[in-house]
Amino acid sequence: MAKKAFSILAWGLIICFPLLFPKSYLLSVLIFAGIWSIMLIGFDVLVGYCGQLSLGHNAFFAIGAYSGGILAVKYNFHHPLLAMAIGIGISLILAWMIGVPSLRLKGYYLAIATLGFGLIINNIIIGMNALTGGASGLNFIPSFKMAGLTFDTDIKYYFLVWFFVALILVVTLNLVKSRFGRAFLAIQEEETFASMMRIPVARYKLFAFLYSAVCASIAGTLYAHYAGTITPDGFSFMISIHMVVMLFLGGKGTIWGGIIGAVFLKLLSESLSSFQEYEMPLWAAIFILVLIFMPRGILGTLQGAFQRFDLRTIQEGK
Amino acid sequence: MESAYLELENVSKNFNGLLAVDRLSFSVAKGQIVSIIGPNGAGKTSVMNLITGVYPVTSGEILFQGMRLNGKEPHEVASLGISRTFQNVGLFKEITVLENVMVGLHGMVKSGVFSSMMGFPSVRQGEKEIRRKSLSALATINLGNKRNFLAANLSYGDQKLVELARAVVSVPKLLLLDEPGAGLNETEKEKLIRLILALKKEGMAILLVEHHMEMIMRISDNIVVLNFGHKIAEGCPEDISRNPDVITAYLGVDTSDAGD
Repeated sequence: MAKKAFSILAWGLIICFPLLFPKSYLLSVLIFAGIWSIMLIGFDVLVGYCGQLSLGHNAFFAIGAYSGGILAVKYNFHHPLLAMAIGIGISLILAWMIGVPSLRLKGYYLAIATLGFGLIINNIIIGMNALTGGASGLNFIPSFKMAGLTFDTDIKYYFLVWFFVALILVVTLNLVKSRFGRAFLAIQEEETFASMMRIPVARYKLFAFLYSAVCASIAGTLYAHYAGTITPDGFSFMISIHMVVMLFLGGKGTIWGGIIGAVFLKLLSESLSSFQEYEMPLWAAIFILVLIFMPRGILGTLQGAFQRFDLRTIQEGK
Repeated sequence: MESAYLELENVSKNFNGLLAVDRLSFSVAKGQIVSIIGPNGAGKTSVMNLITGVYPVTSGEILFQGMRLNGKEPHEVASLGISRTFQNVGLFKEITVLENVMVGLHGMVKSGVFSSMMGFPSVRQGEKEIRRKSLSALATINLGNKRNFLAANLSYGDQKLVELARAVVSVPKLLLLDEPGAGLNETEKEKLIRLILALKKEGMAILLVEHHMEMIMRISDNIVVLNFGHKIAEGCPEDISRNPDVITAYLGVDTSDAGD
């Protein structure tokens, strides 16, 4: 019951905000928050549910962005949805190639392997000068257009992005509420036990990896068409760090937590924009504080508080 | 040997020089309870792990209804209708009791990821079925009222029962129990024995690894005794209890005339 009310309230706020404050510069911040939310919803399936940490998803974000950028700017191919599809296709192929060997590794080793992958892709992008504009990147990426509509103002882009968020949220919630969600959680806890439940562990881990790569790619394409300019700097390893911090802050394993983390941290970094030079230590500090004081994140901790009034966590005999 | 469900033929397992299982052969028939006993380190749990594909065999064959098991992945072995419980309770502690049992029915439904993502009616139907069967299984072990408890918050005895329910909710043909009686009090052990005998009556083949001699003697049709990975005796409970080699293995008294 509380969950339904929370959803309705959240979506109410999301829809009403731009209608009440159409000229607010915060619209731009919330557009970026929405783009990050798309990335994090998928990322939570991999990290929060399956328990596999990847530090290389910045690569898929980049692939989605450059697919949109390259096709529009270098080939005059202005069909963003198709570009998005192509970006997804490339991300899937690369995610498969890196996923199959990496997912055999556990914890620390998987993180390092994916980190390396992210760095390699970033370097390749810088190296493919003619196609990607190298270190200077691509400029004048046109606005997103879809179904005859062109999204050239902030308020239009806001609804476009949050429409995608809603779509991906619904699909992902369907996924994790099904037997697959339970299977992912089982895999996170103990792969040996999970495989005795007829769960093909390697296959499902790969699926979660691919799923999160697709979400990152979608987010990338939306980002490119909004920002108009993309450079390799914007797809560095820091993106992966931000993803992890945002997800942990919002609450991993809750799917909604990604959205909360994205909005919270985007608003925070916007209000502290004068502290640009302290960006990295600030993110590190937030992460450490979350891990110490609120390991289940904002949403996870709230859920825990509600559960104290619920039989779920009452100890035997108390 | 008619309707032998499980057959081990000269199965050996070598862990880098340590011979954990040495040319072991035995079989379990439909509706039969076979127990594996032996001192600690005799290789009992290794046998379980070999059957379920956690480790590959070094040599020998493991057959289930005539089909080769060795070489299959654990989830493939499970899909043939083989379930297992684990020595230290293989429950998923961070999810609820009901969710644990529902995981046991993961293989019952065939809906793929895309149907699930779309939330098709067939998927919702499947979920309802899984839920219904799981609740029914919990009712059988009288733990329905604890279905929304996190598995970690149950008593050890109740956790073992839930693990058993999860293993049998998919109605397996062969059930492997790894020390199901460990850590249980007398009442709980009685409950367990009754449940195992009820499953046997339904035609389930059961392979049991256990230390509690009393339980073994009461419910086993056949007992296999291992020592250092090697079968030193096999037979019905009466024969085993009187077998001098078995007594030696357990008590360490040297009754053979081998020199030092």
